[in-house]
Amino acid sequence: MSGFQQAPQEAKSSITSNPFFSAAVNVGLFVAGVIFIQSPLMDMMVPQLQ
Amino acid sequence: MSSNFGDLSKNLVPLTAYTQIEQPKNDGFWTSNPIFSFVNNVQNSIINHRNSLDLINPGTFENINKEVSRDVFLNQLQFKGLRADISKTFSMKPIFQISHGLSIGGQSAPYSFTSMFGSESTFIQGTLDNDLSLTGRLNHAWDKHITSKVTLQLAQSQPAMCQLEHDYQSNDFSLNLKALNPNLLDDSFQGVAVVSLLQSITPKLSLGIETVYSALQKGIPGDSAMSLVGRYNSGNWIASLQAQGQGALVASFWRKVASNVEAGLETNIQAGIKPSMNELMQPVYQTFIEANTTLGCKYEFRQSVYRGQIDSKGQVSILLEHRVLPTLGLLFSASIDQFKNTASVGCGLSIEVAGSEEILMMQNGMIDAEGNVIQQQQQQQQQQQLPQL
Repeated sequence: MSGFQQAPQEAKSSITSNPFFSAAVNVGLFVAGVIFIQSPLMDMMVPQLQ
Repeated sequence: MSSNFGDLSKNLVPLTAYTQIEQPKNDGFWTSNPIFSFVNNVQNSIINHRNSLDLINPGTFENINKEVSRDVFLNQLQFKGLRADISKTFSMKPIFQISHGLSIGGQSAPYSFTSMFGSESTFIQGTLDNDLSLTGRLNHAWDKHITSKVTLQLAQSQPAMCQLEHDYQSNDFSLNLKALNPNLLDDSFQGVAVVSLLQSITPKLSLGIETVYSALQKGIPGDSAMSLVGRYNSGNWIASLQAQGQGALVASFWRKVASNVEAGLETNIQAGIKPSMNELMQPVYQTFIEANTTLGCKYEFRQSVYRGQIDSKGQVSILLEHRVLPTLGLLFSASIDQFKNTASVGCGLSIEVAGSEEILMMQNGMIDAEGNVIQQQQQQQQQQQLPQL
């Protein structure tokens, strides 16, 4: 039973310890950021002071 | 001030350097023989083709993502502790200004004295602090295309630094030559030499290449590295990508959301090799990749500028600049690192003193740089361009 619990943790740690993991995460963040900046959400953050 | 320079680079228009092509005379030696005639025809056809593309100057190589890293992000403006800058302007044309900087609790020197002179073609600035560290800058524009720059840095317990730079900006490319601590007296070159070229391919797309040669110690062969960049300017948004020779990849994106709001995004991926110990305690080299993504925003109002940013390493930073009076400004800087549980706060004050009554009227917006009286209607129009806050 304990073997079933440890296997996913090892798989998870092997993925996060991969040097390409942080690069892939940040590429994903960049794409998400571009989508956010180009989205109407960003336009709604413009203050209407006048 | 920096935002104004940024706007200049975004609105560059094609220069007319190539529009007036001098046609060679048919009876000259350089055109009468078939070889030079062929060369002249090829040169003219290339120039005509470049003119037909309506290319613009792409800006400089080092400013490839200036809109994000310098205008929106606050990394270069951030400070901690208390700071006060008192400056006095003696003349506006040419500009001559001195300033005293006081700082407590920050990383900058407790006291620094700065003197600045600027005319249409020459800019000189020198800073001396209480540790007797001297920093000097001299820029001279030979004409609207060619600029030379010299930067000097002399500090105690640190090697002296001298940087020579030469810029050539054509109507569709920019060429930059740079040398850091060059030594040509020995048998071989020592120092750092950088050559960069940024070329417009279409009116919106520009590509660039940079080569760095570094030979810092005598007898040891120098290193070289090459970087490639690309920049796409689509009017209200700009995207750029840099593949640097040291193993870094930098992608940035900037958008002008509204007339007073800008947003910027930058992802930096750095790959390299570092020494470590394996299980048998033997030294081995291990590959590592570090990456960071930063999202920032800048709000610009008539009397205030607000900047904020957040990055993927958990750091949140803000910088507020508020001009209480035309001669008095307040700064507030704060940063908190969520993962490291650290924080820093900075407060600053900047005071500008006029050296004459004319400059005082200029600082208050009553006259312009030429000494002409600004009408009240013009003042109101200028104030209405930016929302009040």
